[in-house]
Amino acid sequence: MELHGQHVVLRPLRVDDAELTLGWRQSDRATLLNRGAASVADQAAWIASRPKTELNFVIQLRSGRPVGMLSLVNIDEVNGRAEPARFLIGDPDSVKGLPVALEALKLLYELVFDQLELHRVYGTVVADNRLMVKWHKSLGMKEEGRLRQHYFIAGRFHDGICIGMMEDEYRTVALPRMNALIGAAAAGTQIVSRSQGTS
Amino acid sequence: MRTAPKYQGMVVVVTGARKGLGRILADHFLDEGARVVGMSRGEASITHARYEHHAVDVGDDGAVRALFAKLARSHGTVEVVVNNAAVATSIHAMLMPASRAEEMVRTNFLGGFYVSREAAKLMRKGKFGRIINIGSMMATLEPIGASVYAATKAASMTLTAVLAKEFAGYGITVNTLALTALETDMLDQLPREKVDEVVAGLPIPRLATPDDIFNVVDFFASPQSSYITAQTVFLGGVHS
Amino acid sequence: MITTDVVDTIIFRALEALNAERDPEDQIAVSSATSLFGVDAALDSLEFVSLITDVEASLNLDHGLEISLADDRAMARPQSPYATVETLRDYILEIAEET
Repeated sequence: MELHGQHVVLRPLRVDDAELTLGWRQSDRATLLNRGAASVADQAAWIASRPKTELNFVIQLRSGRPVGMLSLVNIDEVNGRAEPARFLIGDPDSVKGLPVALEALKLLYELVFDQLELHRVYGTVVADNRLMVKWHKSLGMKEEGRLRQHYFIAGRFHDGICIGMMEDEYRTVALPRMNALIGAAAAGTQIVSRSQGTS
Repeated sequence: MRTAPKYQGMVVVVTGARKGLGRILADHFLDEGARVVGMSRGEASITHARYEHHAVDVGDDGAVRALFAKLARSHGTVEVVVNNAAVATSIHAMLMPASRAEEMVRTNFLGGFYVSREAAKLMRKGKFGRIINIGSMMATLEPIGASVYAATKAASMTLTAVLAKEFAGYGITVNTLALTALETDMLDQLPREKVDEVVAGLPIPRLATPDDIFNVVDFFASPQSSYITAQTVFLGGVHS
Repeated sequence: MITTDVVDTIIFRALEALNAERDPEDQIAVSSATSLFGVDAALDSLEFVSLITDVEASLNLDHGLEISLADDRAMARPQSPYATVETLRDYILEIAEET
């Protein structure tokens, strides 16, 4: 299934995305995510082995250029919940000026609440990833708890922050805010200056 | 009301970017948010955080291959390519030296081919590409003095038609924008009276402005133009 | 009545907070002209949302101004209010005037 926005498309992660996505995960920006596969073959095997309780997406611009990834895991219809995870913008240069991360998350929430009709989203964020924690909280998530020394990354243990959001919080807080930020951010910004040579 | 930059998140390659129409187009793409890769035989004339220049002769197959291999590593893919690099010598056929003739064939015809070929190899992976060739009204007007030049431009139009078919399955469109003239350096190389004569014969008898050109280029390049291919737009109309 | 200087300070402080999370060689310029969002912006998506959130929080907690910088009104503008520090500051002053 594909999720289409105004600026991005979320399309299913494929085995042949292994090299690209492995490169993203191994780059500097992802130091606060868990290190996973160590080789393209490992990454390909990991992609091929994804269970039915997960939906894994590549985030693409309208031109088809892949710029990131995002997943929905632990989809539990009995308990009405699912966990957004593995959110990574792998190509930051290509997303400048476009509300890519915002719209990608919004498309995922629409999937959860409008299509799958679940009740709640939740997740755990590494406590030291202050920007990510702030991001989620400003977009509707509430802090629900702290898991002490829950992650081992870059040589030491880190706490995890538990966050969660119910459907009504999504509709009253997250969605309007995301729409406004996406809409206002995508409006025209000023012409950038450039050197004035003679033509 | 200003609309959102059209080329955000895209990499646009412009050949012949150092001066004239190429320079004007490069500036336009930069204004509209693109990362621009400029190619010309000389040094860059633009300084901008989103501009990179490569001194490459488009008629040099090896150099073009090497450049696109580099772009594949640094940018992954390119979305738009504008084949603008061209040289023009207006001289009666009986006086045309081989060197001038060969240079026009290399740059105007083969250069466009090499760049299109290498670009398509990158574009097909993302199933998206826009190749825009800058053509010339000279190809259809066939004025005296432009034998080889007009032939290279005419050859490019046939190239466009076949490439459009070969690349269609990869989401790549190939189109041509045909101009009579724009006030640029190229104009200075052709006899003014000839150009004036041609312009006077157009349905809309004036020189093209940069906005006229951006209008068509943006249309061809737009993600919404996925069903537009193998087209030639003659700015100002087709000469009667 | 909130002044230009006060709003500038709030925004600058938010930028400095972002800089504290960045490498020393990779600092965002703290000035009125700093581009906050757009194709040449100094901030990435995460930092941008963080800044908006911090500025809102400061306006609310320190100055009693309960305004949302991300609502329908921001969306309806022909030009994005987030383009630069200066445009954001002017937008805040505009809303504050009416509160």
